[in-house]
Amino acid sequence: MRCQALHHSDQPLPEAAGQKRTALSEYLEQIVFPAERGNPAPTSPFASWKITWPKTARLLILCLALGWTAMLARAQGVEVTDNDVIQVAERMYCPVCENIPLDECQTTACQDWKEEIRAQLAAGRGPQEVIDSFVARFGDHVVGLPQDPLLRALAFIAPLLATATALGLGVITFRRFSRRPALSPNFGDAAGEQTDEVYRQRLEEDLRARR
Amino acid sequence: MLAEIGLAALALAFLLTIYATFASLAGARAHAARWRESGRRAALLTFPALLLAAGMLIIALMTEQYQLTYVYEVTDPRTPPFYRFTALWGSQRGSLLFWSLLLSAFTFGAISLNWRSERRLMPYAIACMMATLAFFLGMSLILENPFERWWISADGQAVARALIPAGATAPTEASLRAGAEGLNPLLRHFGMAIHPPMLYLGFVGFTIPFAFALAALASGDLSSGWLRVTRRWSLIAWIFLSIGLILGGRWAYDVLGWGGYWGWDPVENAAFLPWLMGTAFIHSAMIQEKRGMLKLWNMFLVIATFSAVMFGAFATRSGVIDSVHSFARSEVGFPMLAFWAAMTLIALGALLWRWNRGELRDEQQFANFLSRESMFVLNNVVFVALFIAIFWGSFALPIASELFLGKEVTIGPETFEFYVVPLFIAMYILMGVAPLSAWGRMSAARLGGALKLPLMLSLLSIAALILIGTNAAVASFGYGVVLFAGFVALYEIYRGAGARRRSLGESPLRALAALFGRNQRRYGGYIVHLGVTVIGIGVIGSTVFQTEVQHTLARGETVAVGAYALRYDEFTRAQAVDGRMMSISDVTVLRDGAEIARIRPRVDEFPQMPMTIAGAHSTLENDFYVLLISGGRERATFRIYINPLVNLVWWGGILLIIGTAIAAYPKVLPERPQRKREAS
Amino acid sequence: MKGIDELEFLPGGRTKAGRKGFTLGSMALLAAVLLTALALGLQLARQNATQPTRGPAPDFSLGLLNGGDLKLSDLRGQVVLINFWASWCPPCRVEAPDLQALYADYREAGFTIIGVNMLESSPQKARAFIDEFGITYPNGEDREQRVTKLYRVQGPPESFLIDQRGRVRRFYYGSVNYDGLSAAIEDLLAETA
Repeated sequence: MRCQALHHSDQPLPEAAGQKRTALSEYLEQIVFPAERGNPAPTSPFASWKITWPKTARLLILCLALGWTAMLARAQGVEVTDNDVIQVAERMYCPVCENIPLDECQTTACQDWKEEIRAQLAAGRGPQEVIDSFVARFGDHVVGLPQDPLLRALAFIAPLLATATALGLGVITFRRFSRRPALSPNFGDAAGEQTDEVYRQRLEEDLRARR
Repeated sequence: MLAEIGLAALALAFLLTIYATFASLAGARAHAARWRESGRRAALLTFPALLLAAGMLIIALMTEQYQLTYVYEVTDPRTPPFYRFTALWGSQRGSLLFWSLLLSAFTFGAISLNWRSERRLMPYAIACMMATLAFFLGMSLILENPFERWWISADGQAVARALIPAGATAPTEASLRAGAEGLNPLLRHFGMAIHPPMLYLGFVGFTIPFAFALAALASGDLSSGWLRVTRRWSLIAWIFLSIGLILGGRWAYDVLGWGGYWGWDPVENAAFLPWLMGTAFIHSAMIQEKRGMLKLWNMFLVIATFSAVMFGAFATRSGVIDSVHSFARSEVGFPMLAFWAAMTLIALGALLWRWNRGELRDEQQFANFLSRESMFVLNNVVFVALFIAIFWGSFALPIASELFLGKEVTIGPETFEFYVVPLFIAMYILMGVAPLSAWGRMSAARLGGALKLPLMLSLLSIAALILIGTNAAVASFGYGVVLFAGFVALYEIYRGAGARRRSLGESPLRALAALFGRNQRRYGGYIVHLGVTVIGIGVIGSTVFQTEVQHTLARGETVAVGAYALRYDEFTRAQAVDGRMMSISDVTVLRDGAEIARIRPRVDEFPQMPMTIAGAHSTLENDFYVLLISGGRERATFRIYINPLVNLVWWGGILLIIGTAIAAYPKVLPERPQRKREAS
Repeated sequence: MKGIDELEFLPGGRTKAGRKGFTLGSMALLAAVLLTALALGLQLARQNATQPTRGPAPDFSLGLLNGGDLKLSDLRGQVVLINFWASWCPPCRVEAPDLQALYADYREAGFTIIGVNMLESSPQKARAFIDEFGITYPNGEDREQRVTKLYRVQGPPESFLIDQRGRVRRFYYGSVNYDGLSAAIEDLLAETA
């Protein structure tokens, strides 16, 4: 019950704008100052252009890149709302508390996870990709629907087999019913049954007479 | 003093159960009336003994005897009296004692009511009930003693013992009061006063049918006597279990703060599994009563229901599976597992043994495909499939995956819904068709004729739903199927009352009353069907059409949600009498610009955990349900749900309870003479 | 439990048409119940298992946050503290400076710490935590919670002190502090000397 001791964060979830800024600034840094960030020397065909192209051309490309990022950002729906986060969190489970959907859990750990979902969505990942990334890191028990093909097959096929077996048993029982001859021609001779059937018959006749 | 009396009463009850088990068995085997009588009296005495034991624990809780470790763990000086009382079942040890008390009460009832009529079965049944009770009392005494107390041993250590250790002294009152822990916040809800007792009554109640089934197997008296007794006790247990499940849903809806009432959590499912088996039994028992068929199967269902109850108790109390509702892990796991396995093996072994000897052969009866027999068989197929599927998802797969594949899995609602929804649709269709078919033979033409009107009404309702703009095709179809079952029940009641009115000239009201009085089981059953229909409508409405949004609002700001709007007015922090801090938000609900309600979603900060308490504006149409997620005076984040028709779930539940009560109420008219065939 | 096994109530003798014993199918059904009970018992035993407090420390290999792998058994001969932590856990923040100070003071003497970062929402958060407290001992992300499960950790922070022969000697539930731990480390370091 460690999760209960954790403090409930009073802070609302951070605004999506903050996340967007980070993503964009990182992107800019990579373009403008690749060397300063200590990235390995680029080996692509474009490796040489940084050195040979005049400064204006680099600026032009930077502008294009900016515009492109903005467009991409819009296309990817970078404006992540609380509801988008909920949509993903609903399908996941709290990592600390036992069997509580992530969506409902208010512990700091869960707030963190929801923040990460938001960040990943803001980075343009789809809900399934976000879930996959969590499953890759923490295993299948953080989602309500197993992602592992074997486990998923087991989750879905076994109940179907069970239903089929139950139905099979039902059919066998029914065949036993229908193979049997009625022992006495006037079935329903027992007193209890008779009242029931006669009563029912009277109802039927009554209704017919009315029409 | 209280603790000593309680402990003595508990020990006495335990000895009585052991004695009653052996005396009854000896009496039955040796046909010795004196032993049988002695066993009966000992069994009856366990109830007052346990009443005394539980009474002592309640007095200790109410009078703040914190030296009792149980009182220390579940209450503190600020706990209000109401929750002091309900703390009796607030934790493992108290709830085990409470379970035993209820079991002895049921046993008392069964012995008092059935001793004369079921002379042959009774000693064996008493032995079985007492053996079960002995097991629970033994656990209370040895592993989970509710009368354990705090002591300061000679070397100054605090120790928990039932009896005073040598040289130890009692701790001071002040230190005890200061350390007391208080009730789990989740349990501080009015629903907790009724939900666990009802659920336990349901669970415990299924011991009685099981005991009679085992008695029939043990005595070899396999005529329908056991079934007659068992059917009514099953209905009684079934009412309580149903009430418990519905109240549990209500409690989750009010307290757990997630806008829903059923989360497919393993512990919820553990309570649902016996209900499924019990429901299957209540239906298929009718085939045996009327037609002498499915004897093996009915016996199996009774055993399976009890086995499912014991399995649920094991799963919930042992910590074998992770769940929101689990009790703290304790040592009762292995004993409960052993008891479950032993009882299941004994009962199943006895059943198969009798069957292999050819003693549970069905009577030779003919039934065609559209007969009521085959409808009931299909009904059982559906319930068994539901049982297996839910058991698989909640227990078998997670445990097998961890044991054999080394992978933990969680099976969530989306997985359960995949297979449960089609099965429930099949259930509702059967609920509609089965009441209209007859025993033995039913022609398609006759069945078709009877189905015409309800089917037409259902199609009309679907059309009407689409006309008023229900855009989800699945939901419209679902409503149609559910309504079909309801229309059939109404149609049957209407036809029955109408026929009486015309043939006997009774007034409509009198005809209706006479109809129910004359055939309680059938028409009580139809009321239950109506209740299940109403629940079904509520479930479809509140799941398919649920709206769920989250918004952060500045104070004074308004956000539109569907036809409604929500305005964040005020934020206050306050301290409640029991010491918890509350963050309370005042919000106004508007509809079409007009203020319709003010509600106060809040967060209660208990030392153990924060709890999100919803504010809801409830109408017939829907619940406008708001949770305060986080925030402060200037800005706050709200989760807003609109749950259409959710109240029908509770009202349907009430209808279901009324119907079952009608069906189970002791018959007003003299019993019909027994069937000749059964007597032979 | 008593009394259940004694329920030898099935009367023999009376024979009708039919078998006296069990058919193969019946026995299979009973065996299935028994096997289910066994599986449940196994699972219960696993669930009831708690953090190791003595005996050989379960070996594991951890992918480190700054690249490379670290295997516990490779550290044989050193006193090792395995510390399970997460950036969202307040007590972890409390103990972090003490842990770094211990590492700085006893590293030369043959002591090291392995930080196992568990249930972290993103590696960036873990790195930020490490930077914030200037942590220099190796830290790794516990992928799929393998190490956490191996040591039956319930929630951060929890720590295990391992001696030079690779045995668990102490288990700390909740946060640790400098003074409490330094004495234990010195004791263990003194053992071989």
